[in-house]
Amino acid sequence: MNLLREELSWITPELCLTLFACVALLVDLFVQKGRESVMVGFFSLMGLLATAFFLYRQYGVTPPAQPVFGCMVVDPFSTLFKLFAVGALAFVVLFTMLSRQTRPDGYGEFYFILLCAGLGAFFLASTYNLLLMYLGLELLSIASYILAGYAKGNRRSGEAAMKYVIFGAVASGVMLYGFTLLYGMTGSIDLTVIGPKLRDQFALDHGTIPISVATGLCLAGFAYKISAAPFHFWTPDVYEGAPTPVTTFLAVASKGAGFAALLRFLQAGFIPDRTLGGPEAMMGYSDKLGTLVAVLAALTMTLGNLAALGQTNLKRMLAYSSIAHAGYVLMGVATMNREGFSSVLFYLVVYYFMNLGAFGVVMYYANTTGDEQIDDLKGLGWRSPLVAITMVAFLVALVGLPPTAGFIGKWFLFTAAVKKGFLWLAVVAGINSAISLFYYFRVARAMWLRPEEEAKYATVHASPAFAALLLVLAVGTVWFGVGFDSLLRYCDYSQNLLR
Amino acid sequence: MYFDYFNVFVFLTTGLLFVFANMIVGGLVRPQKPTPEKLSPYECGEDVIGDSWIRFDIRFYTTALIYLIFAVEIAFLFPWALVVREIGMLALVEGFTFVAILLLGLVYVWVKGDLDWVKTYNASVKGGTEVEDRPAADIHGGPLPVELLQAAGVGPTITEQQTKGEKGHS
Amino acid sequence: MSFFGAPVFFLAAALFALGIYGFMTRRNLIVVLMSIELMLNAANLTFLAAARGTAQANEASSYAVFVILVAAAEVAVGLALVLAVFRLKRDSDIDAARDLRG
Repeated sequence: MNLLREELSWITPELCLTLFACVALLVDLFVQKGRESVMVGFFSLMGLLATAFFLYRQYGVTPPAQPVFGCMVVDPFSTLFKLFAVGALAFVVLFTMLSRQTRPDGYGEFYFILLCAGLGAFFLASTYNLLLMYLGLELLSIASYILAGYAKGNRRSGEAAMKYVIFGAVASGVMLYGFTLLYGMTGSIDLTVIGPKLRDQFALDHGTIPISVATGLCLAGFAYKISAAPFHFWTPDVYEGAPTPVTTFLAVASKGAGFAALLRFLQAGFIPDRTLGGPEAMMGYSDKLGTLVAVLAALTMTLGNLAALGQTNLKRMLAYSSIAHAGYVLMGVATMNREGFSSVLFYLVVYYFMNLGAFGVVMYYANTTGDEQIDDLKGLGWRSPLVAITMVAFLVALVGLPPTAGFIGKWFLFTAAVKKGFLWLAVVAGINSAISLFYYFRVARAMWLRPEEEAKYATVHASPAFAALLLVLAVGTVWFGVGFDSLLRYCDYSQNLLR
Repeated sequence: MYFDYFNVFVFLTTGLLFVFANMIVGGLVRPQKPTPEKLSPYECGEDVIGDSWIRFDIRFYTTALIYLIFAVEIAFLFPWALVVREIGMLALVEGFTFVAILLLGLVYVWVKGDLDWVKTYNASVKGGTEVEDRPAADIHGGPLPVELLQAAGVGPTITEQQTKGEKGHS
Repeated sequence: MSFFGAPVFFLAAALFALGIYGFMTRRNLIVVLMSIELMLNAANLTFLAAARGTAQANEASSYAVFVILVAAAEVAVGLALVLAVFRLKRDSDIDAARDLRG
């Protein structure tokens, strides 16, 4: 019984989130009509706060040696991603409360599904068990399908959700088939067992074709979740069609969880322990896998950036930009070593701040004007300076220029890639960053380099709450560009304890 | 062992032969004078109304979905019921939590009126002054789209005559 | 490695390939959803075939139940969304979904 209590104490954050998801539903049923939005949102925020508190308490405590209940891993790595997901959810809830675009008739179910999606991200980030990984991915995905189609009666939202569900279901089906092949080869669905078993098989030197097929199928699923080429087609459509707070969630939390699972998958299953020395074939295979990911990274960032150049819709442009950023992050994954992985973590945290901010500005703009075109932003700088200034901070960070966190994040990624010997990849990424300057600059130009008289829309002041949110994000974006030491140490720490 | 199965085989063959032989003999012997009344399907003595390939109401779809959810729930509860005594209190609590979460969802849809045959749309109207009693079919866009099923290759092919017949009766 | 020689593995692979083929070639959304079901069932079959005759047979069956659950949830959501789009467009062809492009 004591053991049970101890195990339960390790999954308090998940229990707490589940509880508050249910509470959100109940509150919607019992609260007076017309006040659901505020009350349900408030309870969801309380739940997220409580979850964050429990997560914070887990940080610094020696993690359990064995997975909890045989499948949940509690370590700083998962705690980092869970905090990441909780923070993103909190911003999404706040955005939803402030947004005019999402006015659902059932607030309870919206927040319930949102919190469930967060729960899926939790599971995805903290397991070596392939089945639980699949279930987490599906919980996250299915909730995202519903959220993407939440603007009922809106053709674009419905279409986005439909495309998402079709592509998503196929990708997860492909991934599941890859998992079953791994199970067939090793007789286990636990990655910590699969890794050594694969090492034995490499030692037997049966050839790598079956393993390559299985790995390829699994990678396809992960590539879909992080919207990497060639499985990125759904991204622009879904990001554009979904309600903006939901888009924010997809771009930040969903992608982050996908990367967490990918890192765990590669780390536990396919990176030989250099100190122990694996069979020669496995070393070669691991390097080949790294090269494959590197090629995918180059492809992803190039496709994303080139497509973003021609966009006129702000949301769609940011969608392509998020594809490009998945490419940059994959650069760190391709190194297949600890340094690369810790730079991935760092960049994801940075990405979190700048993308939340950029989508927040899009939401503000769409709310006040009902318009998402880049060219119609003209004169915004003179009319709503605060919003425009923070937007410039986010854009500078997205390009990757100092003194923002975007620069530091990219710096670490580039260094890791070059050290691993992917000089060509770093060059491609550099050229891509230069390309991205053009389309990010177009937004800034529309906002500032046009006279005030040309402004299309009258002055709209951001509500104080919204302005505060944007300021927090902008300060974070700049702060981590200067005082990045503590964050870097935390990312490193999370990475080192990854078994 | 094979011999046992041979017995079964003989039994099956005899049974089938008996049925079909009687049908063939009956067909050869009986008088055949078909009239339209005799050829129409028997519907409790009523006149036949239209084809059985009619458009089903979209509202059945909700019912089907709820059935699906609880059918899958049962798939979990059977293995659970087998081991609940072995594992003890923990399994009991887990099982009830599982069912409780599902029930919560059911209660939510119920209270929101999504299970009503005719949904009343006053839940979302602020203040509740504006009460509209629209049948759900209007909002959901009518009965289950036969075109959808047809395109999928599982639906009926509606000839012009049948469509007319449907209209005439309804 | 002997597992890959078993005929049932080829059956599962064939089912999976059929699912992919259906997804790629069919334009009707309901048929696409059916193809996805085929893929998931191929995965289920592989799970069960891989554990057949070993001590893990029960374990594998329980994985299959989870996959069935997920498949049911996915199809429920998928069908609901297809119907929602159908109501707006009166067309269930994939190519009809073309409001979002660029």
